[in-house]
Amino acid sequence: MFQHKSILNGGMLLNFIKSLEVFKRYTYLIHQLVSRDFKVKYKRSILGVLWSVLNPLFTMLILNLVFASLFNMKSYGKIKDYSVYLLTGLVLFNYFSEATNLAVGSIVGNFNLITKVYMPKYIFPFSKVLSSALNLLFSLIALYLIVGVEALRGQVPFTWANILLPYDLVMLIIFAIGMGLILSALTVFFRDMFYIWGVALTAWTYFTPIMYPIEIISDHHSWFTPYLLFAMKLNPMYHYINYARTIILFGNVPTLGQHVILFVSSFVFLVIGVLFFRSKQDKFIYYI
Amino acid sequence: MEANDLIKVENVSMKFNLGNDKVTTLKEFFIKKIKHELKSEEFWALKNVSFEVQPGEVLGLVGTNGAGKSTLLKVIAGVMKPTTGNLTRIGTIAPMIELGAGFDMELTARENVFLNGAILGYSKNFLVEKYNEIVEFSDLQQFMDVPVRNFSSGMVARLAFAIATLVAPEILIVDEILSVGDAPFQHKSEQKMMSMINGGATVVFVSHSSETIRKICSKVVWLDHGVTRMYGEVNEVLNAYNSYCDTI
Repeated sequence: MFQHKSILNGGMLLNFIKSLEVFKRYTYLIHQLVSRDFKVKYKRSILGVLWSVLNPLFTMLILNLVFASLFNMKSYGKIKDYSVYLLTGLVLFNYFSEATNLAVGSIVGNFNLITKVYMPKYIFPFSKVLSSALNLLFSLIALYLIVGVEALRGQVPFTWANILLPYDLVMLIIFAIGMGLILSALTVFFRDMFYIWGVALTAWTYFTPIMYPIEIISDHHSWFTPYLLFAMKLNPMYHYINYARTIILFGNVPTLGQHVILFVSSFVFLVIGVLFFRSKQDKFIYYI
Repeated sequence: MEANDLIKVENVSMKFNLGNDKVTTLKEFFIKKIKHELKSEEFWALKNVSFEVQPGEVLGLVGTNGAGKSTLLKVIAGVMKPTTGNLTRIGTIAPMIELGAGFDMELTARENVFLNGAILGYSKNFLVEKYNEIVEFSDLQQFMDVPVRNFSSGMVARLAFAIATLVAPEILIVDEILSVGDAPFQHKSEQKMMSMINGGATVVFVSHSSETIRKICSKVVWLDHGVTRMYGEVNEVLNAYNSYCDTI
């Protein structure tokens, strides 16, 4: 609708402005798709949206039981409060996992629309990442419930540093958008991505210090320990989670370096995602 | 190129790889790569199609099944980018191809009006303003809060048609759409289409009915296996097309 010219002439800046105009025109569609996802997700379930809060709570309870009691993580080094430590990592990683899992199939799953109606194709992975972000907000309720309880018990500090959390979340969402764009485009050409990504996410979960402290690795003296630590620090998820823990668990303001790392990793992936998606999107219709 | 062409199709070709040899899994890819079998069968849905449509003109598209009519409409609508060739299009466009493609069966008719409207690029305010008009035109007052999965296909089609014809676009693309719903609704939808066409819209129109084409079109393109077989005056092309159809 309302497309004025299908052949765009002019420079990059003009293209960019055009893209922004298109984006603005379709914000209502994004809003509609996100609210559709949300409505359909909890349709006909009795507890409905409450599940978004309960889910992370139950997962935390189970993992807490397993790791704190069986593997005795509580007594390990720096972890002050294992429930909060665990839940912080869990909530952020669950968001990433859900967002990318939905994004993987977002183009393939909407082929019936893509081949029939004109619209910017990135809207599909983008709206999936945003739908998951809505869910993340509800998970945060669960997180802050536990943080509140633990703060009252004097286990964790509750400081003004918490107002920095939105920065972490926005950077994480931008990172997820970048990943979502790459994954959704790849899946069009190789449907195996569905399964590969499932496995990759499992590996990634264990590669990120969610359930265990990073000291478990640094204290383990072996020739490959430095390499493993280095690889871990290349993992963007480690930094998003670490930032949140700095705030929530320790009540500290993260360093400038931490801010920069988040910013750089988010935008590097966003730019890669956008460029990759743009270079592939016209070929999608040949792989139906 | 004249400045006032609304649609200009220049040497448009559209290539598809036929299904059977398409590689969509990694395993297949590597096996075929090793066996040097990665050549896939090509199929040209459109080959060097060219024509122009001037403002207010109504262009008919005829051709047997699989001639490339729908592909051409999708190229004009911007859904597909041509493999080679150029498409220039100026003005607002309402593609009436596969109506209701964006419906979510789990949502109610009311929710679908807004979802489908958003897919077509309408704004929220516009949809709120036109909501009653849609309900009235589709004649589904009692059913607006019912999930669409409980609708009959005729009801779905009526709702989709009502949403798609909301605006008075400069370019209208129509794919065999006049046969929607029951007889009274068909009459109503045909009237609506005619009022849009008579309102000065530039139209590209696919139909298998020579009668309808004679009634509304000013020029006709005859596509045959992706190639323009003929392009010209209505009667001339239709006569040739009909006598070709009689021979097969």
